Amino acid sequence: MINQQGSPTFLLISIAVLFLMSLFVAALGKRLPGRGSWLIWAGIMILLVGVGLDSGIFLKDHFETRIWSAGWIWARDEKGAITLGMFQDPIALAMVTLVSLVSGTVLLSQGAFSKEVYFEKVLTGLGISTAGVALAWTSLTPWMEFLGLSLTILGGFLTIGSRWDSGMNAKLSAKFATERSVGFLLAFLGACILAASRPALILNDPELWMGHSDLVHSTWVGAILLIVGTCVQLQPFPFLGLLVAQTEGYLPLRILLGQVLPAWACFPLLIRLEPQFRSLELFPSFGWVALTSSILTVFAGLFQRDWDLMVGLWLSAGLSLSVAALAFSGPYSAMALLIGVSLSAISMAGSATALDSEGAEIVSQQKKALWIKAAVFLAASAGTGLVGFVTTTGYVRWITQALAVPATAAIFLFSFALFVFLGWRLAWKVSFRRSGSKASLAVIMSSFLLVALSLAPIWTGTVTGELIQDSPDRLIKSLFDQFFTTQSFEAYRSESYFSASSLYWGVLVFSVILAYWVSGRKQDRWTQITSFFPKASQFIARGYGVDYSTGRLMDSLEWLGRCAEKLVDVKIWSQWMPNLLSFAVKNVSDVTRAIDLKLTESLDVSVKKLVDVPAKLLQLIQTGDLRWYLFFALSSGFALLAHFLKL
Amino acid sequence: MKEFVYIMPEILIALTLAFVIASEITYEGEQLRLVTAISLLGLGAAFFYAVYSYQFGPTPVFSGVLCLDGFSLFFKLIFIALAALSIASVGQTAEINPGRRTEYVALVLAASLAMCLVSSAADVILAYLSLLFLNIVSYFLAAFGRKSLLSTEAGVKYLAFGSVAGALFLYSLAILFAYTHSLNIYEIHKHLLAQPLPPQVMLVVFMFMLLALSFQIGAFPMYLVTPDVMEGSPTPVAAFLSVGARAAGFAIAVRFLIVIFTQPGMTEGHWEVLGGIDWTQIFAVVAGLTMMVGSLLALKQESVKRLVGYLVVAETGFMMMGLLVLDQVGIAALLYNLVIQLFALTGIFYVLSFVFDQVQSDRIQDLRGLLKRSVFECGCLIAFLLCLVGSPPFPGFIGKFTLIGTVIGSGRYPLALVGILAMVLSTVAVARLSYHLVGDFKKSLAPLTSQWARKAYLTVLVIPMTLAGIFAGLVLKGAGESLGFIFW
Amino acid sequence: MNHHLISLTLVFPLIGALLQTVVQVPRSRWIALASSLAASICAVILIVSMQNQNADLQMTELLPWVGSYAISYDMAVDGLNALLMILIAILFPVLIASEWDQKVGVRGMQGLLLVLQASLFGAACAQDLFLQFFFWGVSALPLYFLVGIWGGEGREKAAFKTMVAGSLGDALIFSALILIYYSLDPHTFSLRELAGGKLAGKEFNFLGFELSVSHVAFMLMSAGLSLRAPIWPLHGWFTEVSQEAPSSVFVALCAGVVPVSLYLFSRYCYVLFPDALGSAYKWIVGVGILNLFVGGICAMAQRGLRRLLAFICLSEVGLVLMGIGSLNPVGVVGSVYQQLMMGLGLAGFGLFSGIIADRTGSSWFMDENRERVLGGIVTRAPVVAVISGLIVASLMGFPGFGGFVGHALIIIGSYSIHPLTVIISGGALVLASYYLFTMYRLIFLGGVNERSAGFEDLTLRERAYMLPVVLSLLFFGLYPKPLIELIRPTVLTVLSAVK
Repeated sequence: MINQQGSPTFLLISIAVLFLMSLFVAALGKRLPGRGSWLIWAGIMILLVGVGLDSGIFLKDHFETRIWSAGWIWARDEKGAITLGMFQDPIALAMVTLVSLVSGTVLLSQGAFSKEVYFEKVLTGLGISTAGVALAWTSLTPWMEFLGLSLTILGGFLTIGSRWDSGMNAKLSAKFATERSVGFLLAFLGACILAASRPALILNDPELWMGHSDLVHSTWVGAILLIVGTCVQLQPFPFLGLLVAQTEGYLPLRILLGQVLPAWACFPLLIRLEPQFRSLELFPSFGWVALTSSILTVFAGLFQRDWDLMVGLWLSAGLSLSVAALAFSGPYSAMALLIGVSLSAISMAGSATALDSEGAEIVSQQKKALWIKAAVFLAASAGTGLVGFVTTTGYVRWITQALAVPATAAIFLFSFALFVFLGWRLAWKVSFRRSGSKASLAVIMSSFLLVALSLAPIWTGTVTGELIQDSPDRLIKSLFDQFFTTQSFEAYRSESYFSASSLYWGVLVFSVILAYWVSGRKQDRWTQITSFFPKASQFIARGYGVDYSTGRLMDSLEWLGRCAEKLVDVKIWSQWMPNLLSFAVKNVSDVTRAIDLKLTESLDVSVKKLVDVPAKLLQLIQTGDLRWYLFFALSSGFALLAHFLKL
Repeated sequence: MKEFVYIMPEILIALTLAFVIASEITYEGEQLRLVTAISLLGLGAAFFYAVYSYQFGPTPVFSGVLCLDGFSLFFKLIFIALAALSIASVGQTAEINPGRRTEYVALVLAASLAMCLVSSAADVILAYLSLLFLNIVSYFLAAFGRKSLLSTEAGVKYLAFGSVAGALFLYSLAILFAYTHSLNIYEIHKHLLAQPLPPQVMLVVFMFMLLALSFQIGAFPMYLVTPDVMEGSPTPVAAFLSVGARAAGFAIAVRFLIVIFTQPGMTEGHWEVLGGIDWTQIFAVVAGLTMMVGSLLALKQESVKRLVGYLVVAETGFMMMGLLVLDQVGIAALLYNLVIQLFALTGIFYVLSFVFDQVQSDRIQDLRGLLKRSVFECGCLIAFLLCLVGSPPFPGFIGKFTLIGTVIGSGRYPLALVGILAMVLSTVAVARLSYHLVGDFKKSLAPLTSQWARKAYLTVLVIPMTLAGIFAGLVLKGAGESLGFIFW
Repeated sequence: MNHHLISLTLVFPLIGALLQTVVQVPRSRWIALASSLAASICAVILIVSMQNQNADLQMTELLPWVGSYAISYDMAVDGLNALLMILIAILFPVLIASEWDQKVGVRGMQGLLLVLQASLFGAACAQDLFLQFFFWGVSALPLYFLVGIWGGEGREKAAFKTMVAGSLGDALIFSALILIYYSLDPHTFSLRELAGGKLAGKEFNFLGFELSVSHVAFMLMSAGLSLRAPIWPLHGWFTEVSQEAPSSVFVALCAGVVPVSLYLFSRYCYVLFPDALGSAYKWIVGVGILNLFVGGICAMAQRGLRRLLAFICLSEVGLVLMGIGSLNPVGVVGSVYQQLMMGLGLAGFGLFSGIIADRTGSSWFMDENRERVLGGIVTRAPVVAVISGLIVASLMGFPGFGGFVGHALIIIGSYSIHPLTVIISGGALVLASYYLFTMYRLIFLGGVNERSAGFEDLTLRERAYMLPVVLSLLFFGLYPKPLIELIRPTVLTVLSAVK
């Protein structure tokens, strides 16, 4: 039952407070004590408090989803309505809490990046993106969600090129902004088409679209644009240019603000409109696109040399996998994958940067390095869905549903194996790193905390992540069941569950062992294999030459623009137009004389061209001789008289 | 004796003329200030008396020789104002050397007396005599700059052309007298209504009269002399002639053509052509040619005075359009334009004479970058030119709009098209002049001395022009009513 | 009864302009700013005191001017021109403040800007065709002198081209005006009597052909207006002026005169020629799309901020034309709203390019072989970077700014014509995001080079005159409801006449 509430909720107020605080830090960061980091801390805490208050009210009203909406640009009931609205259901509240906790933990390890030149710019980015994600998850209409999305784009833009005075960073941040705004514009166009062809686009009541079967064509176009626009935010296959480019700055922050938060900001649109997309049969088919892009990204990651870029590509592959899961099996497994993969990527990046080569001899640093390597392995298992993590339920559910069609199950298992192989290859490569670390306790704590957030009991209530049939190890009620009505999954549960979970286990263990066998030991066999065909691996590692082709496209467009401008401005206006006029008015002799004059003549010449012939003739009459005047006057008078006398 | 009260304005002007001549002979001291004071006083009295005599209503004077009606009073006001303006400005121009300034004032007064007579003449003989009297005084004025060859050449040309035109005018009037045996144009009109002339003879009479009048107003066949006179004669004289002589020409043209060649039409205030021949066709052709000739040649000129001369010829073409539609609205538009040109042309020539005193040459190239040196004067010059040519913000635009509107109203689309084309060409000519005046604004030049007297004079001109623009409705209505008075 | 607010908005600037000729320099600047501000405040009071639920003309002022020709001084405000009043009110005080320390003849320039402000206010509010044409003709004069006297090297040629294009356009409108005046039996110029398609049936013969008045007049009017607002093939003079004119003059042209010409076009389409619009709207949308796309393509090839601004203005004009031609309430309201947003966005862009041109000597951000010329200004002048970032975001239609509202409404509205229009306008928006971000990167981000080394941040005066533009962009983006309520009733009644 949707109850219409008048006043905006605590959450909206806390989002606004966080946004204003980050702007405050941006404006006066340098002069604040501790360069404003405590301000951002306070903002995130306020967000947590806001969510807590609202979920308290939410529980008191025994789980009614609460709506607050106001006509923003166009009235709600008319076609083309553009309305604003807040909308709180369990998944929204849970995700906002998760995002504030994640931002908090990453901020916890601020010691590692506080010596950045533009520390307050990074803090502002963090604050703005967190507010953006919170706004996106609680938005009732796509327009509000676009507001949240644009905030995350702004946050990402601020932090990607943290050192703006270096040419490379400037180019990358501009590339980030252009790609993400192109995605945003596509989604915006899709939403406009949908808004133009049907009443107000409310995210939370699915049957709204069913009634308009007549406008299938426009809905289809609008929905496709919407999906493509939002998926661009996940930095999937064609947009790998940014992931393979070298950037400075603290890696976990770059991963969090560059990839995770924008992905989390765009996911609510996909999750909420999933039933509608499925009714248009868009979803199972779009899943293949997401799956192929995830496979290609994993390959790009495998051929990558640099560890920092490899983890970015691994995360992007994971996000594409979660979209594929959404398309194939539904929001349940998609959310599980999204949370698990993102958190593991951030914690792995955090602990990887914490390790460094010198100081291997001091005992305390060796102990810390051991702890960090343990965190890396934990993160890898969280990302790839080892027992006890939320991703396990995601994978298992997907496989049980995929088993209905063996061919799709095979392809999916192959991509899952590749993904796990890359994840564990990452972990093994870190373990060979220098075994010393001067990182502070806070940094290590934040890596562990991030992984802990993706533990199975929190989300699914079971210890092993529903690995065993009808989960005997259930401790508390599953949070995911609150989020999604899972009756569609019941049909698969009974017969193919056991075979699905055993298949899943087999593939997982096989790829982990393969990863260890290939890169677990001193010399990395995989690099040897790739050295057989260096040019191809280089091509794949560089992101399949997509950047090269887009660059060529843009240059051709610029060339087109130049010659269009030259054609009109130079040719037509300053050369062809005066010539045409002068030839029309003058006879050929004058034209030849005019042509030898340079065409950038002054005002007199252009006027002369206009009226030369008649004026020259009249000038002849004006000889100044009186007798000729009289003769001309009288003869023209008599000529007129004779002409009219004829009548 | 009782009838002298009707021609009191002319008497007052004659008295001031006599006083001026007397003071010139007897008084040795600073003659100019005394003479201007006397003449301005006399002209002021004549002006107020003319306004006062509006309430007499249309009356024939001296048994039909003169007629005092709204039409003639309207023109008398214009002529008196013109005389006052040119006399007031005579002190500030170097072209008329100080010694002969009082003589110039006397000539101006004589010319304005002649013009008042021309505008109220209803008798054929008086019309011819006053026209010749006006032309003779204008020959003296045109030839006033004795030392400069151009001025004497202008005077001689004006004399020759004037006498030929006078002869043609007399010839046409003679034919009319032969047929109707009466001298008063209104009796002639009654006779022609009773038994009209054969069409060929009517056309010949019309043609000769048209040739004579086209000399006076500077229309197509006889336009050749006007630019030479404008360029040759001293600038204040050019101002006086370009407004005064042309206005007198239009006064006679309107009165004689409407009275002799038309008959009252069906609707009130509209006239039909008398006698078979539709002479308005000839008039339209002549008007179109004048407009095109004036604006085309204005583009080609190197000398500023010749350029303004040709613009004046183009304006005559426009005003002839007002006459040929033969209805009250058209002629009201013509009169409105005359008022606008009174101020615009006086202003233009006044600033030009100031500029020629400073720059000593009237070639356009030599006037480059003058706007920077004297912002106020050149600004007013550009404003007056734009108003003369009729571009939107200035009252001239309303004048042009009413003229072209009446022509389109009467269905003569091709003529309206020629009118709009001529308007655009003359705007481009003015743009060319102002383009040179602007010149390279950034180059710093010595600013010209600007006395307050010159600023005062120009504001005296600008204020009535803007008022005529803002209250265009009133002026048009006044001009329309003044036609109604013509004694039928 | 007669309100006098509109006449006040005309009188104040004219008084200011007159005083410029008398008062000496230090005080004359304050008088210019004061008079322009007074007119703007009157305009804002005027808009605020309008009731937003009724569609007919409000705050009317009716005085007979030239009785015999039925020309009356008829001023009124309704949904269509309310937003223009706000735009002009915000724009001109900002321009006068931006020309504060102009060395050469500051009195002349500020006087001409005041005259331009008065003529645009007049052209926006006039409800009498003759009066409208009178003010619209007057607005061409100040531009000629502003470009001709204070421009760059080729200023005479650019000024002459503006004058030729302007007078040709005005001549076309003048002939259409006369045609309308003489085709209706009780000759009238007043838009109130001519409204609602009274010209529908009228015919007139010209050299033997029977032509329908409304079609010919519509053709002449749109040709005349497309010479004054840059429509693609006829825009040669516009890009030339953008190169030569001083930045504030070009802002006055592309953010003041162009929106007014678009408003005049929409007024004539909906009020005077609803029947001609019925068959011509496809052409309007076609020209709009052509403008939008070619403007975008040419903008990609630009290397200087001035010509880039000209082509952005070209594509914004295309977008508004699409809205006007969409003939459905959402699209038309969007086009009226976008006229305001386009004006503010282009004004902001023009002003910040002026600031950059003053400080680094030229407004080129790329040299011949497309290498960086400026760069790294964000570290030197963060305030300029933030302000121009906001303006670029609004021009691109990012949510939270005015541009978003305009873009969204027009795209939704134009969908009803043909879904393809939405795709093309989407393509143009993507192009816009590409060249705007490249420009932003080349100027603000990246390493500092010698040209932008000495770039100091905004002075207090510059912040003062940039603030209103940016604040209004944000405010009208976040809270467009009152303005949309103001426009909707008029648009709905006007569109019902067209169907």
